[in-house]
Amino acid sequence: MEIKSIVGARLGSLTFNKSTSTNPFERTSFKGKAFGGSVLPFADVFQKIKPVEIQKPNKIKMVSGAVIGAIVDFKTRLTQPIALFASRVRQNIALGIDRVREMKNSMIAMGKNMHGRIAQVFDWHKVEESTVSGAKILSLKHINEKAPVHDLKATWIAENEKIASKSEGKAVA
Amino acid sequence: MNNKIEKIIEALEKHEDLESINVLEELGTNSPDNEIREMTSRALVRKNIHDSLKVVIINQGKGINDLSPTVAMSTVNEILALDDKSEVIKILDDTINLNSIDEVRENAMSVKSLLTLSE
Repeated sequence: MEIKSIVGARLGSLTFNKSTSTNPFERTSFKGKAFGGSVLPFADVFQKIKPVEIQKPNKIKMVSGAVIGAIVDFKTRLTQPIALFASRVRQNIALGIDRVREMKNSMIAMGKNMHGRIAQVFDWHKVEESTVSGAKILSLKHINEKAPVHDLKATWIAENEKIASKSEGKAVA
Repeated sequence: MNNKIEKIIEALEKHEDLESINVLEELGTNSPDNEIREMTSRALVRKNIHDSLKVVIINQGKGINDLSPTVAMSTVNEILALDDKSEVIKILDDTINLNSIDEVRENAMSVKSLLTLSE
């Protein structure tokens, strides 16, 4: 019992120092405790760890780096909008040219439509035309089941001729 | 389709003059335009008289014998939609028994069977 309590007290009083060498058994050794007096001065063959020296950052370099970064940033901030603006202007000009071209085409189409509408209006109120055979070419208003068959036939033939001439005109164009 | 031609076909369909059938046959069923041929065939069926029905049943390349399936099918549909089918059945029977063209006969037989099924 006594031995156990003494050993326990001894072990409890042991303090494990921070590692000061590459010796992996340094913590578990009883250096200076169990073998006090017979410890060889050069028994620890492992090298001692040298504390790593942390180099202090150079403040001047840091400041100069920051200044250079700011200048680059400023340059990009200044030049990017200008480049964007220039490309936008160029795009707008291109779009404008396209729109002018489209407008020209739409004007032509509008003119054709107007011409068609006006022709239709006049056609609606047009007085019936007489053909050589005596049959009349009827206007849209006069086409009904009461109209003579030969007039309806003449109108149909005239309409077919109109369609044929139109398609011929398209083919030539 | 041309507005004027559409109105002319409608007018000829309702016309009492039998000459209207000739005009529809001459200008309508011979038109290169599918739409005009279709409308003319339907107008001739709707007239529902012997001469007009004959045009769309016994002639090769016209009405039910048209090369365009759209024209042929819409003519058949119009025949099936007729209220009084007596005249059409008479012409179909004559065509099946007497027509010399096989294709026309076969088409007439098909329409006849469709009419029988639909009744």
